[in-house]
Amino acid sequence: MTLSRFSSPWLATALGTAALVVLGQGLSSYGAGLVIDCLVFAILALGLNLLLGYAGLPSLGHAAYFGVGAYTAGLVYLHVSTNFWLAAAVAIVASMAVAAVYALLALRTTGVYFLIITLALGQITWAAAFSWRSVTGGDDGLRGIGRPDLGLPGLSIADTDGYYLLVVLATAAAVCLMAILARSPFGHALRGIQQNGQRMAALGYNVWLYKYLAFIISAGFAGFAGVLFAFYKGFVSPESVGIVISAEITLMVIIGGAGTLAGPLLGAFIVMLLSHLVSGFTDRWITWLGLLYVAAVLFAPRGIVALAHDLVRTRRAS
Amino acid sequence: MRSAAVQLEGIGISFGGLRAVSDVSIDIAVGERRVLLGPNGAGKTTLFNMIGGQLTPTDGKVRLFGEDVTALAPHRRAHKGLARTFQITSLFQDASVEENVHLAVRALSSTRYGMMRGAAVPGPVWERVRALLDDWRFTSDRRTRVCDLSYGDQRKLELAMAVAGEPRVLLLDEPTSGLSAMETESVVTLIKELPSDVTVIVVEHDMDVAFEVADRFTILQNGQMILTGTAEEVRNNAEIRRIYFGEGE
Repeated sequence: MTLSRFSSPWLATALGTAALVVLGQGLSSYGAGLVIDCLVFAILALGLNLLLGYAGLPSLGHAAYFGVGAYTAGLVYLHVSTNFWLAAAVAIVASMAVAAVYALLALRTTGVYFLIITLALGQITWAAAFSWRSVTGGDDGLRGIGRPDLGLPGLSIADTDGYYLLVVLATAAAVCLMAILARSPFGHALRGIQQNGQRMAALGYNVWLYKYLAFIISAGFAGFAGVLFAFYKGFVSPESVGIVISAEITLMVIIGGAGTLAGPLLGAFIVMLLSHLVSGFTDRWITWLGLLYVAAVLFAPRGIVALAHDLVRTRRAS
Repeated sequence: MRSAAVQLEGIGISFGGLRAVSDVSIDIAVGERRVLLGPNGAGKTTLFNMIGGQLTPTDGKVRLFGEDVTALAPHRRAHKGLARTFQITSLFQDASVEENVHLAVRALSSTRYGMMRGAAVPGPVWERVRALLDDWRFTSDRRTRVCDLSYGDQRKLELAMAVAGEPRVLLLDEPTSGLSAMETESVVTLIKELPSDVTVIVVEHDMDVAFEVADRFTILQNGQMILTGTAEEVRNNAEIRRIYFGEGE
């Protein structure tokens, strides 16, 4: 293994984190909020990428685990404890538990059927958030969620600056965790399964179990993103469990580059920034999202990261 | 008497109303080299898929070293010492030669579910990968992507991956199809050089190759076994002469 292959993701994460911390000093609170949104969705897209990009399973209901994480964090804060770590741990476990049940159903199918059943499961979760008024607040949403305590002396996430720093560091942790997973035997096996599951089974891999574990881990990332989202916004509504978010994160992964580490991060920034930009002059964000999807499929079907790789390769070759 | 490595007890399978294989019973001894012969559509690959676990027979039993594995998933059979190649080359095309062999070796290692340590970290798995690359003369090509390999080398790599876990039973589905005469010869040599305690079952269309590697033959036609016997018996069988040598009618 060469040194550059070993060091690049860690170095890039360190540099990116440092850049965002420095950038944060000069940002208005609106700007900081925008970056927080981007990073929360980056963690969400990073999680989906494990399933979509590595295992080749197109989940179109990933907002479900994001939503379960967000609602659980809110409920823990409102009814149990204002400690961040406790709320985060319970919320991540809840997201993974829901995924562990849903995956049993979804993994009975493949391809477009998998896409449809994950979409259906996502909508069931949305319906639960919408109609279980006594717990979730129904279409009013869950309100009155404050900023939790980190339980660390001298560190506060009550203001936007503090929260910004927390989200930047949380994203760095998520990226490192995903980089470790991608390089592990588990990550290699997932990519093999995407290319040829039957061959992997004949070699001795329990293909179903790998997909099942990937599904649950992926939901854990989504749940964590939900926690950060709930405590930043201070409320959670059924919208955060809905199909629009599921479609957005799928698009983030595809635009950026499925199966790459940087792709989902890049995709999250592109989609979120564009969403903010577009909503400044029109209500038709969904239409724009559709156009963006068409453009991605036409011009960069394997994503921007792969496109950049190809450009560098041709330039070097010529 | 040698014990049986693979036993098929009256196995059969239907797809919808179509009877693809019916009532096939075969005993294959440990270390035996058995070639399956028969025209296209005779059910050879279907039979292979039932031994490998890719298909579950509708009747009958499959035994591996005496144990009933009829309903066992393919990956469980792999851990019991069964390895196979596929008729259509099924390698990981985007990955390097080294990475393909690594996946094959890792499959039977207890670290295959590892999530924290890098897959590239040196250890017993990589020692085995290096040894295999050396044995199969892939060392200089180890970083080449599989899609850039010649077709002959891809077939060779399939074989290397199939023996990576030192299987006790090896299923080879048309290992020489699409190869030049020279490449065929080298594959035949590789098969003949496999350890003598490895049971090898081969689907083969090339009669020269078949006679060179086989101890015994099983002949299938229309999903039924019509003969199991030695080279001599096969040569003297009228049906085979008609199918393969165009004699009679």
